[in-house]
Amino acid sequence: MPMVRVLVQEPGGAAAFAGTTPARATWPAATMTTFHFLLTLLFGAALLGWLGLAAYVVGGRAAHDLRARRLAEAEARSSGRGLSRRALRRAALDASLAPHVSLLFAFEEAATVGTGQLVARAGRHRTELDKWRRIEALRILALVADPAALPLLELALRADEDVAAAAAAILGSLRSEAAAEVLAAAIGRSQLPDSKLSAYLDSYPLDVPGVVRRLACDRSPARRYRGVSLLARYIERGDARQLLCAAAGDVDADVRAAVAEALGSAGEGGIDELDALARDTAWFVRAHAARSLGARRYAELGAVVAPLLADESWWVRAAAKDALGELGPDAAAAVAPYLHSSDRFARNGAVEVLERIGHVDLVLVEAVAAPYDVLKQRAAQAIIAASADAYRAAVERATPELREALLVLVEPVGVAA
Amino acid sequence: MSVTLDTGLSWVVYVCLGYLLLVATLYAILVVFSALDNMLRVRQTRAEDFRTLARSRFTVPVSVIVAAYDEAALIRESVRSLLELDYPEHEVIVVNDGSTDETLELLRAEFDLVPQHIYVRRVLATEQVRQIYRSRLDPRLVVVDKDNGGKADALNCAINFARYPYVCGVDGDTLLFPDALLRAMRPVLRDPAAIIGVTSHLAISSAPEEIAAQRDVLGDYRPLLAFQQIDYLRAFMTNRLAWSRLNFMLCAVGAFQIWRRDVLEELGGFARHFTCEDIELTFRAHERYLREGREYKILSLPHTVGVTEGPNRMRSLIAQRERWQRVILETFWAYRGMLGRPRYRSVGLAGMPFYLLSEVVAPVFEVLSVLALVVAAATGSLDWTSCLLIGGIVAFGTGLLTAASVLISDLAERTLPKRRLASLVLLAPLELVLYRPALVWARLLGTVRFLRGDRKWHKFERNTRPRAVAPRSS
Repeated sequence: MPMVRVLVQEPGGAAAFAGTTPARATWPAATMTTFHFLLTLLFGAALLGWLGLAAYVVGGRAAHDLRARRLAEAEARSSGRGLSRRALRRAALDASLAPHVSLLFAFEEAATVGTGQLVARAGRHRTELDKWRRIEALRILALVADPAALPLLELALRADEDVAAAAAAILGSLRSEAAAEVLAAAIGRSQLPDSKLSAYLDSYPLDVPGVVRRLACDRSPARRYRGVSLLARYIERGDARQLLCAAAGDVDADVRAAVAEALGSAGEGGIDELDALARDTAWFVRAHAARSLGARRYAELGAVVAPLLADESWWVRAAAKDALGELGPDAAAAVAPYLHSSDRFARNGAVEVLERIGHVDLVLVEAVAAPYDVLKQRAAQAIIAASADAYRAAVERATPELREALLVLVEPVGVAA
Repeated sequence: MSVTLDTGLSWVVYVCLGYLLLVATLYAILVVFSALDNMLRVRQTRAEDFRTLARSRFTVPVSVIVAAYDEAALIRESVRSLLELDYPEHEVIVVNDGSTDETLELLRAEFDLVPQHIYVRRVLATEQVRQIYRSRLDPRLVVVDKDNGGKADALNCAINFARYPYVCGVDGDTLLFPDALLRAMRPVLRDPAAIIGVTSHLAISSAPEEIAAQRDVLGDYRPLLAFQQIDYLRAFMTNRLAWSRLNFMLCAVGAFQIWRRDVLEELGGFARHFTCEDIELTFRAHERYLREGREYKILSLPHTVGVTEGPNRMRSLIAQRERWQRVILETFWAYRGMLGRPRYRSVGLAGMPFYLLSEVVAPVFEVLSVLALVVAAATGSLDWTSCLLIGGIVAFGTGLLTAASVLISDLAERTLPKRRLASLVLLAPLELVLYRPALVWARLLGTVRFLRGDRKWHKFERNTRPRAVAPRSS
């Protein structure tokens, strides 16, 4: 509080400075000079700081644009000549560049630095900056297919999250079964979530059914689960389908759920397994089975899925609704009985499905077109009774002839159009 | 003037200068942490393989939810941008919260909506749902029409419909860029167990629909919008990034907020009894997780994920900022128990005290500083040169901070042209006289209304644009 003390103790000390009367309390000249000096210093610092940073922002951007232009030119002439080493390293690391361009820059960088130094750099890191240099080195080594790359990448998968993520991305871009094997081996044992590693294996540029099969037969349920999920890519291979069907009886519910999910993309086979999985003790297995049955698009599967509308789990009921919706108008007959279910959700679900598969009017059209199909006729009437709004919407959309027929349908249930 | 008055005045000047110095120091520290966090994100992004993420079935699906109340001006463009997101699996749930304009009609016509009966779990209580629609053009779009209950209520209603493990809340006047979800979900995919919330930077425009297509982020060059953009840049690039790095990210913005659905359900959804829902939910998440000693992360990212509408009239801006100030005060007051308590770790020990200084008491100090300087200069206690120097320090200090934000943003994404960068940094010192007074006024109004217990929404008047007309449905 020196300011305050000065103001009180030395009235009139700086009368000339502020142009005030001598009787008034104000700042002494010496204090004011210091104060002014400090303020001027701060002002100067703020002004220069702002000017300097503004220049850096604009200048830095101009330099970046220049680098980008040079990079584009280098890309066009397929040569890294004229690029700085930093630019080369960055280009080799940049995942958004075309692979052949990255490869080119990687070769130039490897030639400049020497693979020995790159291997040393890729082996470990101490500081944050080192970490990114390590990642750059790993990518360059992988791009130039250096034999040391694979063991170093394997090691990197056990390093911190950033290094592991970069290593997984690099491994995922390689076209070698050995690299896929390294990725598969890291599942359940790396810093990275298994889903991320699985994503790279799932979109691997090379077919690696052997690697995935081995994973699907692993002793660890977590690794088996991932393996079975990944088998979906090879579902059209008989051996993969066979393996999946065998895994439908796995002791681990997650694995069974993965089987149920994978079988949804099978072109043939696995229906019996899906049928069994739809009655599994674990709700999430039933939910996956229901969705997969929907994805298979066999109308006769409606009879298997429809009972799941009244399942004890909300998620299974929701999956059943989606699945029946996927099965289309042919599922109507299987769904119709649930319009009379004692379970409110099953009733509502049935209406929702019937609306979805043809926005009601499609079902109604069928009922009109096939007057002898009592079940369809009854289903249509039940829909009208359960959902007057939907019925009105159907009437709105209908052609004049159909509207006529719909009005006939409505009579027994007495809904005003 | 009496000696006592002069003494009092000098005290005020002294305290205000001390406050300014303290806040400036804190911001300088935050800039360092923001720059570090930004560097990390930029490097992570550069090394990321987005192509694999974008097409992988292992990428976690997301439910995008929109609360729309009188959003006719932009709702079609907004929903279209959401449906066009480049993401392997997502659904879009729009809740029309009893709009009084043609929001619903526009949606019905644009996306060929048909009434549907969809029965959902009512995990969160909401106002009555009137009708549910599904798009015949894109089955991923569900529109729920319900009685008006406020934004929080509408979001809760959307959560009831959400099927995926992550929920992304977007405002009806926000247009997202195609890669928005992929960029925001990238860190989540690395650590889904720990990351419960994510937000990211948004650009401001008076007409987002005009600039979203060209991705000329910050494409609105009018001064009022440019100042708002500067404000947003500072809020995200020098505040939220640092908060995120220091584990006290205090506000996931309503215009773009991703939450894990199970967390939302566990927390009871968005709170209806607060003026605004986003800050409150962020505070509530911190409070719950820290009280229970659970590990979690709420992140803010430097990527510009879309464009949101900013007011292009001063009156509307003041109304918006007044509400924001009220929300800050309501939330801070509700969670004051966390302040300074070690149990709440960096949130209680750093985040809350920083919020108190930079947001809660700021309007009082801002007004007090200006008044004290003017009175001191007018009465001769302080010469005009000193006053001008102090003003200059604040102006260029703010300019320095803005330049740092612009630099961080540019390093994160080189999307802005050089001219635009230059105009933003050059405009920054003028903010003190051309923009800040309006904000100070708005914040004062907000403080007064908070003290009076006003909880009204006071939604800002939409920017004038050609009237949106619902095409006649066939």
